[in-house]
Amino acid sequence: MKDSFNPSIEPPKKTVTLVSSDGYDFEVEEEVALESQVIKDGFEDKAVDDREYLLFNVHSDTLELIIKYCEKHVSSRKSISAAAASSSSSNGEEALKEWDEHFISVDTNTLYDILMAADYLNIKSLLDLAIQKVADTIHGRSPEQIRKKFNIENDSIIDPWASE
Amino acid sequence: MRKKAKKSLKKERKVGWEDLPEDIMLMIFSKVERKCLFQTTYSVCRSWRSMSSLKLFCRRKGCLSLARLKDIGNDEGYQLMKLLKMLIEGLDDKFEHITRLDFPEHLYLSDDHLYYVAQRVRQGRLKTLCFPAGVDREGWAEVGATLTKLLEPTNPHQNTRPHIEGRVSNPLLVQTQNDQAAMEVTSGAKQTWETVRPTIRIRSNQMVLNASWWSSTVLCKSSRGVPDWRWVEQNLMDGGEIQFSRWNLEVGSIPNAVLLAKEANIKFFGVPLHLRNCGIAELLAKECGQMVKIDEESLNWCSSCIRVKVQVKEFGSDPRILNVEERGYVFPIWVVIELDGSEERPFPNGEEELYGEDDQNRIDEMAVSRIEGRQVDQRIPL
Repeated sequence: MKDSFNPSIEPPKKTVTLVSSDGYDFEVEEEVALESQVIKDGFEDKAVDDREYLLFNVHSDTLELIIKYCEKHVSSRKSISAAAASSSSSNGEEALKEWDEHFISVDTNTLYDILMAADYLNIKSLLDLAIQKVADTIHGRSPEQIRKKFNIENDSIIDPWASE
Repeated sequence: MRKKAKKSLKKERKVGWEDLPEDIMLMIFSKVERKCLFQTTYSVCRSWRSMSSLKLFCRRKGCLSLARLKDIGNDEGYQLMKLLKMLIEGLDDKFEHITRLDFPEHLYLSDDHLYYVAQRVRQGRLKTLCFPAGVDREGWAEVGATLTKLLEPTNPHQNTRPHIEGRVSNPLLVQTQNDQAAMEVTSGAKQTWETVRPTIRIRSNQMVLNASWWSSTVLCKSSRGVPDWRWVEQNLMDGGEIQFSRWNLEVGSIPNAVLLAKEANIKFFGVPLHLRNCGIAELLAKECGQMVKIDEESLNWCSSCIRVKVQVKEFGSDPRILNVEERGYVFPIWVVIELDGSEERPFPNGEEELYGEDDQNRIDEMAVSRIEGRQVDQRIPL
């Protein structure tokens, strides 16, 4: 993200194309795509007109969510830094946190996809968010409830806590 | 953001929370409370279990450390027991051959736990138990003693010979009460079982027990010559007779007590026969320190050296060779410090033979002839 962002004189936005595993093209702004460390790392080496990334491990449904997350984070970071520059009080960070919480409140299948995609694309904040969500889901549940929630087959032969 | 269809690729989705990559799993589990790992995730499925145990236990080949269970409270004692059972009985494939159990400093263990552990030692499942020792390790000495009692074998010739070690985590604390107690445990075990195999003494700096074995530096000393290193390596994990001692800077050196001894006997080899008198002995002794007493017995032509008791400031600074010049002749004199009982031998083999006991007679003859020869034209100086 560029620090010297000024909303009044908006430069023509550069875009990159992300291709999902099921063959969908997503055209996103450059700075949104750069939220992913993986894309960022290889970014400078690529020619300007050839900024297309094939994301074999990310399904279009998940990619859509991920892009939504990145866009939100890029824009809210801008507004937070703008608010800080004009020294006006803002609850931007809290709002973002709330938004994150809402964003990650998904069913476990989607959560799994987001987790894997965040890991694959190396988006640190999203990965942390997803991991925390999984940990929270685990907390306070019995093994049986966890198995049900995460759709895990019980392949353990012995339950160590089962009384003899 | 625009989304447009390009071409349909194969759609492959498989949601498997049990097949999460290990690194992600470990990241998740590090956010989960230890208690929850212990009680819940451990029982979910096989992969979750092995990941949980990775988080719960430090483990090396055949060794299980309970260090991470230290904040498991009293109320979990029952579950700890179950967990121990599972791990030690080999029900968990990740911990197949546990032969050693490392106890952390603070862990709630009931007598039941101890009894269980002791039983496993008796059965030969567990071969080594490591307890913390030193200050702040209150209670462990007691545990060790209790365990030793439980381990008293009915048949002293049983071949599964457990070995209880006292571990000192702080090498600087040399003698503490608990340290001694832990040592007693070791010696107690020693009395009960006869040692047939050679003992390997391993000295290490810091906590070698928690380091990965052969990457850290260990100094080994065997009671019987040079040990077979393959045997040592094998037996390190398989319960051979290994003793650990604290490493310090003076290992292998001359003990400080010897060096600080005020008086020492110094021998001067190679003093020409005609110079063997009190004056010369005094002069030579002066070079090494304050002379105390000349061994009059050694001032004859038959002995190989002059022996003088000297008050020495520092042995290290004493000369090894003194050159005595007499009328143009230079006689090199060997200076040998007599360490209690064991005599340092400075001579190469051939030389030593010359002065050996067997050759005493020959030297006598030489001495006589030489003296006779010199009597004619030489005066004994000084």
